[in-house]
Amino acid sequence: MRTAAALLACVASVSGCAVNLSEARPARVLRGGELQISEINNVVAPLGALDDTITSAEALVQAARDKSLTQAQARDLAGRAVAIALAGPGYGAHIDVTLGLGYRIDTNFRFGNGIYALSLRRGVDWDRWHAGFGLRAGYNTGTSVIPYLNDLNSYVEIADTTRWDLQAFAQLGREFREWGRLWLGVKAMRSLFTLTVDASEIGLGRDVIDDGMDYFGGHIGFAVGYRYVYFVGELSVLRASGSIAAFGAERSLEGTTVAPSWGILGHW
Amino acid sequence: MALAVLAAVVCGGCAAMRRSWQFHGEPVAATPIALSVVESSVAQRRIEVTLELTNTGEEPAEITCDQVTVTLPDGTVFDGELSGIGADIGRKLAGLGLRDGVDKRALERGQNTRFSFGINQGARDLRRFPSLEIRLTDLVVNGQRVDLPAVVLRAPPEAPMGEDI
Repeated sequence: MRTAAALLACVASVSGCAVNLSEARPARVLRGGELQISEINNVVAPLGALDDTITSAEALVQAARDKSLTQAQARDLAGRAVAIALAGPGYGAHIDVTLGLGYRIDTNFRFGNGIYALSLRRGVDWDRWHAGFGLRAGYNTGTSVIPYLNDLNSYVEIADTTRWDLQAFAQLGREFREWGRLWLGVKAMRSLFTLTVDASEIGLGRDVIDDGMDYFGGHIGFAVGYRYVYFVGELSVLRASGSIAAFGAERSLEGTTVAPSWGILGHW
Repeated sequence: MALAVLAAVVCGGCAAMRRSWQFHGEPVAATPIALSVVESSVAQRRIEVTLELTNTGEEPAEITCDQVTVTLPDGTVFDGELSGIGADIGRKLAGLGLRDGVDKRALERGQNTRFSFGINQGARDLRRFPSLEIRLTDLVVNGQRVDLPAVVLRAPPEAPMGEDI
C-alpha cells in the first residue's frame, strides 16, 4: 500500500501532459497597443480519473509482484494508463503574452509545459463591465516536467503523444479602477490526440490511438494589484467527456476536472 | 495560414496599436489671462497636458486654480482620479513659486509660466475621441472668477476614431 501511495504521489506530481485549461486573464479585451505578460501556474485535478489512478497504481504494484495479470486485466491496465496520460492529474506553468490589436481584438500567445497556443479575442465594453469571446488553437507536445511516470512506463509506455486543443471561450468581468479585476467565463475544448501505447511488458503489444475528447465548463478569477502588476487567481471546473479504444477495450475519459491557477500578470 | 491572418490583423491594426497620440489645441483667452497648449499626449487611460499661462492684463495677477476637468464629446466629464502633484494646478503653481497657501505671489504683466497635469481614468479610451475639452473650472485671478473658454484638444487626422477601435 505504501508503494501504491508513493506511486500515486508520483503520478500526481509528474503526469498531466495537457495543462491548457485556464484562461487566467481579465475579461476586458486589450485596447490597441496594450500589452499583458503573465506567468501562470496550473494544477489539474481530474476527480474521476484520480480514482482510476489509485486503482491503476495498486494493480500495477500487484502486477509487479506476482506477474499474474489476466488478459482482461492487462487491457484494463493499459486503458487506465492511457486515461491517466490524457486526463490525469498534473501541474505545469506557462507564459501568456497578450497584445491589443485595436478594433477590440487582442491576440494571445501561450507557451510552456509543451504547449504552444494562439488565440484571438473580441471584446464588448460597457462602462465598468467588459465581455470577451474568442478562439484558441493549441499544439500540445504531450510532454510534462519529467517523462511520464517512469515507474508506469516500465509496464505501459506512452509515447509520441501529440494533441491539438481547439477552444472556444467567453468571459464577462468587471474592473475596479486600477486595483482589481473580477471575471467569470465558460469554455469548451475539443482535444484531438494521437499517441502510441506500448504494453509489450504485459503481453499486449503496441497500439496507436487516434481519437479526441471534450471539455466543457466554466471559470471564475480575480486579479489584485495596482496599475502595472497584479496577482492573478482563477478556478476552472470542467466536465471531461470521451473515450478511447486500446487493445480492443474501451476506456471512458469521463470525469470532472478542477484546475486552479495562479500567477503574476504585468500590464502595460 | 494562422500567422498570415495574424500578420494581416496586426498590420491592419497598426494605427490603432499606437499607445498615445499628440493632440493639438488653439490658444484661448479671457482678460487678463491667455492659455495655450504646449503639449498634450493622449493615451488610452491617461492624458498628459502642458499649458502655458500668460498674464495679458495691465496688473500683476494672483492666480489660483485647483480643479481641471476633461469633457468628452458625448458630455462625459472626468474630474476625478487626478494623479500626482502635477494634477493639482494650485499646488503646481505653489511649486513654481507663484502661489502658496500663506503668501500668494503674482504673475507679472506679460509674464508666462508653464504647468503640467495628468488625469487617469480607466473606463474610456481617450485616444479615440476627435476632441477633448480641458476646463479650468475654478480659475480665480486677483480674487475674481475668470470664465476661461475650454481648451479644445483635437486629435491628429491620422488617429483612428471611435471607441470600437
